[in-house]
Amino acid sequence: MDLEIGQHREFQKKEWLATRIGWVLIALFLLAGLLGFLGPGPFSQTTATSDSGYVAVEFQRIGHNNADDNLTLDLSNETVTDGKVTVHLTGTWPESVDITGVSPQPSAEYAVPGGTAYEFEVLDGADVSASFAFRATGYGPLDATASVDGDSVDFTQFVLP
Amino acid sequence: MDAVLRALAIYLILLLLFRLMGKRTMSQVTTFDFVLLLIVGEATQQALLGEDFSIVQAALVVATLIALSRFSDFLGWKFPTFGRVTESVPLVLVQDGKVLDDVLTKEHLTADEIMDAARETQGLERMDQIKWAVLEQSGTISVVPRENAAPKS
Repeated sequence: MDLEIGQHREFQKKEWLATRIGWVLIALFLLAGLLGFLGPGPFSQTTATSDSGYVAVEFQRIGHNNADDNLTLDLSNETVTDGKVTVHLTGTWPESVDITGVSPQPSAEYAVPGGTAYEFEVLDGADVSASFAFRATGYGPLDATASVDGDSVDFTQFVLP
Repeated sequence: MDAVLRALAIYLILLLLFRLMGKRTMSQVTTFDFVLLLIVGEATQQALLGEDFSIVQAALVVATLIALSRFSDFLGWKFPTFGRVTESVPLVLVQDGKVLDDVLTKEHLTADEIMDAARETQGLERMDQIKWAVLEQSGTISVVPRENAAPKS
């Protein structure tokens, strides 16, 4: 008498194969996470610089939705006029993130077409390094342009769910 | 809408991961496994609820998870192939006292684990007393003894 059992050897063989492939995919997923392809990490951290080199943005290429993130704007003292520098942040990025804090605090902040302008007061000869804390509220590629007096740098952050 | 989609995504991710872990994973939950399960729950909680900790959000998430589980059971009943994909199939490990080594290798099982189940459930002493040993869908090993292999009193 045979055992009455819903054994299915063909399916089982496929399951073993699928499981092995799944383990490899999980290993690749973890590796991608470690290297920064899925969020903050060595690959993700990058700096975009304008042609003149006066405006630079340090940011994560890959961000997470609804997670705290940080972006740093480095402005050369060449961009400072009369002790002030004004940065325009425009594009889909400013529309799709909640900026929760800017350090140092801007002396003025106002809306401009397609984004927001931040004005910083600067001591003579000093470079500016402004840190923006934010939370992404959108998904997908978010494009931005940081411009100071026509000198601009474009960058794209990809936000994962 | 967000809560339902979040619950659906987490359900599918957990289903995939637990299926990849194999049949035996949940049948033997050690203290450490239990702690890991708690951490898994903690890690998924935020993704399930997002920033919304309201009762409605929690109710939506729980209802979605239960509905998905029930729907999955229904589809498994209606379409056997779907059931095999989500819950796997039983697998013979021992046939007439003969251990199927290739199956044990694929499932990362040892003969000791089969004898463990044979002792616990049937009071058997040797492999040749086993007629059938089956790795069930639930991950447990069920043992059918030979007719003349009654346990010693």
